[in-house]
Amino acid sequence: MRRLMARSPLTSSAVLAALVLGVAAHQFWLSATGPLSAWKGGGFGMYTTPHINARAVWLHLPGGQAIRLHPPTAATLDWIDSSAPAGAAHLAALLHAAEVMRTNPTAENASALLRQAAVVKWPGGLDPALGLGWPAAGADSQRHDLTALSLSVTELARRPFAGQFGQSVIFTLSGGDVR
Amino acid sequence: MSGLAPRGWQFFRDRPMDGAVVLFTMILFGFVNNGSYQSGWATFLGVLAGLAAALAGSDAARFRALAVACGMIALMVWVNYYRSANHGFMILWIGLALLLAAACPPGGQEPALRRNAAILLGLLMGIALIQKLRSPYYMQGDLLGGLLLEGEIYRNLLTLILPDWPMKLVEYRVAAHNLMVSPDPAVAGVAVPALVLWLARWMTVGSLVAQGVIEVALLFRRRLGWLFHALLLGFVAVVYSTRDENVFLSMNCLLGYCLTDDRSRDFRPVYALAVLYLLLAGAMGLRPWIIS
Repeated sequence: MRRLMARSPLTSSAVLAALVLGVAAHQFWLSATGPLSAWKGGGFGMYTTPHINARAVWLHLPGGQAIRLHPPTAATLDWIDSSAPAGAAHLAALLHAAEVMRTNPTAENASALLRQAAVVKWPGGLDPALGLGWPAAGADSQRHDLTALSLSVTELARRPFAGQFGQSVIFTLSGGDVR
Repeated sequence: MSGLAPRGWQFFRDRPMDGAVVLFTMILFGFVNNGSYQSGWATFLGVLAGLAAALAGSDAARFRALAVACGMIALMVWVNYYRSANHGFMILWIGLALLLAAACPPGGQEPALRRNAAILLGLLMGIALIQKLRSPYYMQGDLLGGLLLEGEIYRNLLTLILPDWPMKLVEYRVAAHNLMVSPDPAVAGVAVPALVLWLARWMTVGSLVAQGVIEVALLFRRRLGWLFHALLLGFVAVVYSTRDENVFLSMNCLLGYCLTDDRSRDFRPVYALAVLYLLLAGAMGLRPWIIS
């Protein structure tokens, strides 16, 4: 391998350039045609779109209730802490998967997340007006059918020149469309 | 004169290939301690391999150690492909550039290092510039304006001029928080001081111009000589004043180090010092008060 590289250093440099350009072109295409964050994927598109921390991943339950999976609320983390170890591990994995998928939310990874969410007994009586806090311990909880769940990713854009902050939905997947 | 220079100074000035491998390993160590997605085992082995490459007694041993380091970084990038910041990709490209240079016979290593560094710096600046030019969010000034409103850039400096700036920052933070606690699309109005908009506009234009100048200067670097390196270090200093991007800036410095030749060899220890400062200051969370 070393001899091969040493034999034609110019070709080796050209291969390096092609590799960098190929990765950048792939990122360029994905972020232009889909929800991949321009900050990710090796295309040097940092500082061209809102930061990845401006994205949030939401799980929508029947009845109009929604839970922010990422970034998790303090109440969500408290609830996980109070769960049995096996349940806590599953929930922690679910939150981790939500964090991972926010950079490139696709039907594939959102489907996996929804399947994980469909086996959880979610607390009832969530109050979106209170920052989606959880009800008191011992409140009713319920497992929902996969088709009744949906997932969305929102993105906050600060637009000082328009004099406003705006949040938009950049990705959605309903349980009925899970692959 | 050279006899009076400290040994470290001489090392980085007179042995560019060795110096580049040492700086690469330092930056790799800084990178793995700056982020949450890096695989522990891959980066641990990568740093050890980088260290082995820095200490290698022969070119063959250095090549093998660099190959292992690149393999570990590539593995980490592959596993976290859509989660890895550009830092991860960039350190991989630099590792490969060093690997290709290390494959060459001793006389060919420095030219290969310069060629590969020029390719990487040119592509980095060029692609980043194109991405900015085609981004309405950046071109309208909202990206940098938004960072000013988050308090990420020049918080203390603006407070000196606008005494109620800290209160405005709290106001903006509350507005953002209130939007992010709901999954619904929504808009909140904010009042932004004219000075901040003016600053955002100039920073937006200034950043494009600076990247364009570096790109052009890279093409004429042989003719520009020391001026090219002064421009590159100036670019690093300006970006450093805006945001904590120390690890990425240290990679720019390493590319600048690799681009030096016999005429600009005195810049090599300066680049090495810049890398050392950026990594140490980044690890300690140290930033001059006025720009934080």
